[in-house]
Amino acid sequence: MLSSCSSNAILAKIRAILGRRLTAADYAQMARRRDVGEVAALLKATPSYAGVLRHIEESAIHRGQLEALLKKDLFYQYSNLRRYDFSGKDFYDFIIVQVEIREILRRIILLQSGEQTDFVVDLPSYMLGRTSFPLMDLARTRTVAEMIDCMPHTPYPAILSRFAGQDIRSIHILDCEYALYSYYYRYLTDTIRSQFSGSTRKELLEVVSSEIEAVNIQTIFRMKLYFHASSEQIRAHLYPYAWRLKKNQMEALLAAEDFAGMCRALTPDGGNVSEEDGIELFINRNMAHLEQKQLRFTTSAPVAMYTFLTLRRIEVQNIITVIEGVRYQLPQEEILAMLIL
Amino acid sequence: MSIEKMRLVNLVGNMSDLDETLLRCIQSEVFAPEMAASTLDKSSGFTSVSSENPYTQPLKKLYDLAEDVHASLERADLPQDFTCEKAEEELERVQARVSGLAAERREKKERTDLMEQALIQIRHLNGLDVNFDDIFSMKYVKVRFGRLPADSYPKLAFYDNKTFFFFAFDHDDDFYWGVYFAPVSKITVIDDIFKSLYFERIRVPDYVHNTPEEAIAGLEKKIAEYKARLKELHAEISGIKESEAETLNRCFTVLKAASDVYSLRKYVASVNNRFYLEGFVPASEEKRFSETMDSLETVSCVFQPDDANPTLTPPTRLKNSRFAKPFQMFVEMYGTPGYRDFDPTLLVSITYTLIFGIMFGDLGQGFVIALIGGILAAWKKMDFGRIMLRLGISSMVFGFAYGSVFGLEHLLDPVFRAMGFAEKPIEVFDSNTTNMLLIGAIGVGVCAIAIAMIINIYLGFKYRNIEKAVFSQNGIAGLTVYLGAVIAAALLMLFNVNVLNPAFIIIVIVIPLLCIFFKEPLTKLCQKHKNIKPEDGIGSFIMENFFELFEYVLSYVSNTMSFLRVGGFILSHAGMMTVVLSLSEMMSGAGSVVVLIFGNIFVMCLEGLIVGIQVLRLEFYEIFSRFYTGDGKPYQPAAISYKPER
Repeated sequence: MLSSCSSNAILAKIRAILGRRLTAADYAQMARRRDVGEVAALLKATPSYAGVLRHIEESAIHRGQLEALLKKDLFYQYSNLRRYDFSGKDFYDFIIVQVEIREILRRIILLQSGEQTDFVVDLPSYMLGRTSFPLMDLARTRTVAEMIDCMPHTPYPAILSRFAGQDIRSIHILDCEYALYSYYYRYLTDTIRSQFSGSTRKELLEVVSSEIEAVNIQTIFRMKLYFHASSEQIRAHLYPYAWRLKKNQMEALLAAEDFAGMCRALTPDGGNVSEEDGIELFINRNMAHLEQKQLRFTTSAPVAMYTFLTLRRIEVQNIITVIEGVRYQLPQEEILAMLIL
Repeated sequence: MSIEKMRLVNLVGNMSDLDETLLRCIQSEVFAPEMAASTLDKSSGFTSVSSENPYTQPLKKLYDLAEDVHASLERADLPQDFTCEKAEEELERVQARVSGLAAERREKKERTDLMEQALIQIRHLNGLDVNFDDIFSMKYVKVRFGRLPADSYPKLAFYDNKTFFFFAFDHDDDFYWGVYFAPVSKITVIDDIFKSLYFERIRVPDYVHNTPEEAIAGLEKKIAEYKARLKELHAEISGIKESEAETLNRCFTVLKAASDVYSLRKYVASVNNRFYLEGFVPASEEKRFSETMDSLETVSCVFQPDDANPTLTPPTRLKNSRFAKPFQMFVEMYGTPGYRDFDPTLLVSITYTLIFGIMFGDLGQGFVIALIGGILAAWKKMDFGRIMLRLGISSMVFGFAYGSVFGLEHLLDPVFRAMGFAEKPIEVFDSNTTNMLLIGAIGVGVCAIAIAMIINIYLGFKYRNIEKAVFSQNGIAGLTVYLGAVIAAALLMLFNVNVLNPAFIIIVIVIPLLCIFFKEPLTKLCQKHKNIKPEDGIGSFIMENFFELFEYVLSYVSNTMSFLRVGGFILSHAGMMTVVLSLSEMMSGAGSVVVLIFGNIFVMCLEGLIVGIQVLRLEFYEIFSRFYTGDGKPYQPAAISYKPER
C-alpha cells in the first residue's frame, strides 16, 4: 500500500517537474545570448533552474562552475525523488554506480595525461560520502593498484585487477571502459530482473537494452571511422545485449565500408544523416524521443525515474552545448542544430 | 466536417527568380513547403541552396539594440523606399547614438554590481577587528578576500601539502566567505588552485581603508554616486527609445520578412542554375496560387494529385462549419487528424455542446457564460470564447427545461403554466426523475459509444482494414456484442422482456466474441494468407487474447458507466445551488443578495470548469479512443512571423 502510494508520488512529482522543462524556444533564446553570464541570467529566470542558480553572480560565473551546478541540481532532484520511494529496492542506486564508474575512468584518463590536480577540481563534492568508496582517496591515487586498495568491499577491484600490473600509461582506456560498463549493464539488468516483474520489468529492460544498443552502434561507428578497427576488434567491445537491431543488420553494420554504408545498414534510406553531423546526434535524438514516449505513457515509478533522469541529463547536456556555443560565438542555428531535441 | 483536399505543387525556375518565387509563396499564405531535397534522387546532381542567412546578423544587431534601449519590437507600416539596405543604415545610425551610452551604462552597472558584491563580502568581515591597511601592507604574504563555493570547500583537504591558509569567517549553504594567505613566491600557484575551485575574489577597492566599518561606509557612498549616474543614463536612453521606436519597428519589419523569406531556401534544391521547390496548396486555392506565379516567366508551376509523391504526407487542413470550427481546438489538442482520416470536429462540437448543456443546465448561468464567451470572441477573437458562447446557449436551453435560473428552481413556473404545463417539466430532485436522469445519461453514453464504433467500422472499410472494420472490439463484432447486451439489459430492466434465449446469446454474444478472440487468424484467412498460425505459439495466443477479450468486455461496461457522471453532475449542480440558496436565506437584506451573487459566481467557476474537463475526458477517452489516432501533419503554410525571436 505504502509502496504503491510512493510510486504515485514519484510519478506525480516527475510529471510536475517535466511540465517545467526547457522548450525549443527556451534553447533558441539562450543560443542568442552574447556570453555565458547572459545565459546564466536567462536560466536563473526559468522555474527549473531558479533554485540552484539563485546565489550565482551572473557577471562572474565561470562556465565550469555553471555546468557543475547543473549536474549537482540533477543529483539533488534524484535525491528528492528518491525520498518518496519506500520500496527498499536498490535499483535506484544505479545513478551512484554511474558516478563511481565515471570517476574511476576520469581518474585513469587524467593520470595517463599526467594531470595531478584536475581530478579533484571537477570532483562532484555532492557525491562525497554517498559512493561505495571515498572519492577523495581516489583523488590521491597514482596507480591502478592504489585505486584497488582504496575501494575494498566493492566490485571494482575484481574488474580492475587485470589492469593492476600495467603501467598506467599503457592501459587501453577502451578496454577499461568496456570492463567497467559491462559490469554496470550486468548490474542494471540483473537488478531489474530480480527486483521487478510484469510490465515494469519489460519496460525497464526495453529502455536499458535500447540504450545499450545505441552505445553499441556508436562504438561501431567510432571504431570504424576513427580507429579503422577490424570487425573482430569491434566485436570485442560490443556489449552482449540487443534491442531492435537484428543479427543480420548488425553483421551488415560491421561489414559496411563507409559512413553511408553503415547508415544504410541501420535504415534502408540511410536516415538522412550526413557524415558531417555524425551518427551520435541521430542516435541520441532517437533515444530521447523513445524515452520521452516511455515516460509519457508509463504508470511505473521505476521506469519514470529512469527515463526522467536520462532526459534530464540530456537537458543538462543541451544547456552545456548552448553555453559552449555561446562562449565560442557560434551562430544560433549552428548551436540549435547540435541539440538533442 | 471535412479535410480539405490538397494539391502537390512543383515549382521549377531559374535561380534568378528564386527570391521572388519564395516571396510570392509566402504572400499567397497557402503554400506549405516540403523538403524538396529529401524527395529527389541525390545522385542526380541536386544540391541544397541553403546557406547562412544574411539577415541573421542585422537582426541580431537589431535585437541587441532593442535590448539596450528596452524597446519592444513589433510590425510597422513601411514607406516604399524602406529596403533592407536602408534598414541596415538606419540601424548603424541608431547604434551610433546608443552605443556610447549603452556601453557606459553597462560599465557602470558592472562596477556597481562588483561594488555591491564587495559590500556584501565586506559585511561578512564586519566582525573582523583588523585594519585593511595592515593586511595589504604585508611584504612577504599575499592576501585574497572572496567566497568559495560550498562544493569546493571539502576539496581544500586535497591541498594539505600546499603553503596557504584559508580562513573562513562566514558560510551558508552555497558559499564560504573568507580569506586566504599565501607566500608571495607561491601566490601564482595558489591563485590558480583557488581559481580552479571557483573562488570568487573580491577586490577590495583602493579607497577602502581602515576597519571594515569604515570601508562599508566608503563603498556605500561610491555605489550611491554610480546609481545616480545610471539613472541619468537610463533617462537619456529612454529619450532615444521614444524618438527611434518607429525606426526600429520598421527595421524589424523589413529584416524579419527578408529573413523568413530567406529561410525558406532550406526547402529548395537546385541543379544547373535551376531551382526546384515543392509543397502542398489546398485544392480550393489552386487557381489563385497559379495566378500568383503566372507573371514569373521562367517559373513553371505544375499541380499534381496529392498522392503524386508517395514519400510525402499531405498536411491536414480542417474545413468546418461556423458552428463546429472553434471545436477544432479540442481535436487538435488530441492530435491532428490524418489527411485521409475522419475529421471528428462536428461530432465533438455536437456532443460537447449537448453534454455540457445537460450537465450544467441553468438559464441564468448559461446566459452569463454565453455573454462572457461572446465578449471574448468579439474582443479577443478567442476560439475559447466562441466555444463558451455555444456552451452557454446549450446551458440556457437545458436550464429552461430544468426550470433553473441562477439556482432559483421555481422562477420559471409562471412561464411553464402559461405554456400549458401544470408544473415545470423536469424536477431534478424528484426521485423518479433522478432515476430517469441516470438512465438517460447511460443512454447518451450508449449512443456516443455506438457512434464512435460505427465511425471506426466506416474507417476500417475505407482503408480496407478488415480486422478494424469487422473483427475488432470496435468493429462490427464489437458493436453487435455491445448493442446486443445493452438492448437485452434495457428490455429486461425497463419492460421486463427477456430476450436472452440460447439463439440470441449464441448469435449476438458468443459468435461476435469469438470473432474478436480470433481476429488475427480470421483476418489472415480473409486476406488468403497461407499461414494463419499465431507467430508466438498457440499457448501464448490463447493467454494473450483471453486477457485482451476480458479487458474489452470490462471496458464496454466501464466506458458506458462512465457516462453516469452526466446525470451525476445535473444532481450535483442542483445540490450546490440549493446550498447557495440556503446560505442566502440565512442572511438578510443586502447580505442575502451578496451571498446569492458570489455563490453563483463560485458555482459557475468551479462547476463550469469541472464539467468542461469532464466532458473533454468523455470525448477523448470514451469516444476518440475507439476510432481516432490523430497522427496527421498539421497544415502550416509558409508565413512571416512578426515576433522577435530573442
